[in-house]
Amino acid sequence: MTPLTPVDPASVTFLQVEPTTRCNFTCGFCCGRHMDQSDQSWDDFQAALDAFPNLQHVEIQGEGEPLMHPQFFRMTALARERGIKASTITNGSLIGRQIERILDSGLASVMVSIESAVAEDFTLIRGGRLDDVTRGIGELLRARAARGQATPTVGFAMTVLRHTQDQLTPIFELYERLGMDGGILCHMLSDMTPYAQHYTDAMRSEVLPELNQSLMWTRYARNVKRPGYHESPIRHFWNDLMSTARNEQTGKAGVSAFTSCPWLDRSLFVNRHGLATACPNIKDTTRFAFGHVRTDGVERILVARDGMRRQLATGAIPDACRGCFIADSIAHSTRTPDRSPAEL
Amino acid sequence: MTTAADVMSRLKSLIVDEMDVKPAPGEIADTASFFEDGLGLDSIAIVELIALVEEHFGVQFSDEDLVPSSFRTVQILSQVIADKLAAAPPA
Repeated sequence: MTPLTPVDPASVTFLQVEPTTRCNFTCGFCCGRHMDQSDQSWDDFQAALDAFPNLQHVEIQGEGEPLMHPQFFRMTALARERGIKASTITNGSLIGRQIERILDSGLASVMVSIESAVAEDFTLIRGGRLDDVTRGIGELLRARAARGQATPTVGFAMTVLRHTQDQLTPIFELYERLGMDGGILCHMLSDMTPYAQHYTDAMRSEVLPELNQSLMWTRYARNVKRPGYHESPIRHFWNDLMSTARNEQTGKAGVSAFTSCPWLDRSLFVNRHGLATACPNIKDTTRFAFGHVRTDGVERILVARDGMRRQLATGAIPDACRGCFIADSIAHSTRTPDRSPAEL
Repeated sequence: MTTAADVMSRLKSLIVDEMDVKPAPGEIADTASFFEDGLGLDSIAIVELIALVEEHFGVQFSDEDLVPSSFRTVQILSQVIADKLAAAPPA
């Protein structure tokens, strides 16, 4: 069988779509609050799914609260109809009002964002109430059990701030107390420009220094391997991405762990306006969008994506990828003497 | 008994053999940091290094060990490892 080329629509197996930038929370680190507040159109969502015949997984989540999109469940229904695994990350505040629809949706996974298991701190960070979120999670899990359903699994998506480093264990304990089963994703507060440009000085000081990030990753990795806790049984793109920690060519661990970008190899992000970019970290669509998923056509998008992939493979970091640890890793690997040239 | 100097020598060899760094063991300064201003490792690489150290030296870092002050330089990490080895019950 001929291997798929990066410009073949079938090469895209993972798609993340941003249903909305609207949200009922006020997280200080969220750049979505500084964007126009709008929803993705149904036509653009459908066009995104139509464009890629080999899609296996669609993550319906961007900078806003996905459950606020009036057609969120129509989106999950279409994914289900096409046999595409669907998942989302939500702030959890609306779960309690939508339990039956969530259970009917075919969603494989619902992850709930959290930074702190302390109610007052949760409110300070997110502007919502932890009690409302945990009540909704509990009700969803009980209703799911009553139906005898296994999905959606329900887990946490944790962002670590400097002052919440000590919340790792309490969040794992809360997960266990609630009887959750979707695993816990973890990432550090981003210092990439599209996000950090909107931070206040106080929020900027919440970005963990690199060494603290490493130590937090280590503690996190230990927790997910302890009995009773586990990674999500529904594999996420991010799980696979973070498990790539060794250079396949040199076999060594380190800063050349990535020799290509998983986003540019097999994935795509489509924002609420239907504009496709390499990944969700790229917010400047005026400069960096590959094209519109409905009006520009898939060929233009994938040719542009391949151009970015080729540039990165030479070690020249595209402007859109500045500050990305994967891009840094690839650039470093091109300077490693025992690495063979990247496959173009 | 394993001294901190023995540990440091083994740690430097481990870094060169297993990590994606350029210097030879003899070229790594005792006071080298692990990051950009030293060995040039990034946050993912440090996670790998911690796992490698635990496997190679047969030690397990506790949450109390996993603090920035333990990982400032090669020398400091060597001392932390040596202390853990000294505190471990004989096999």
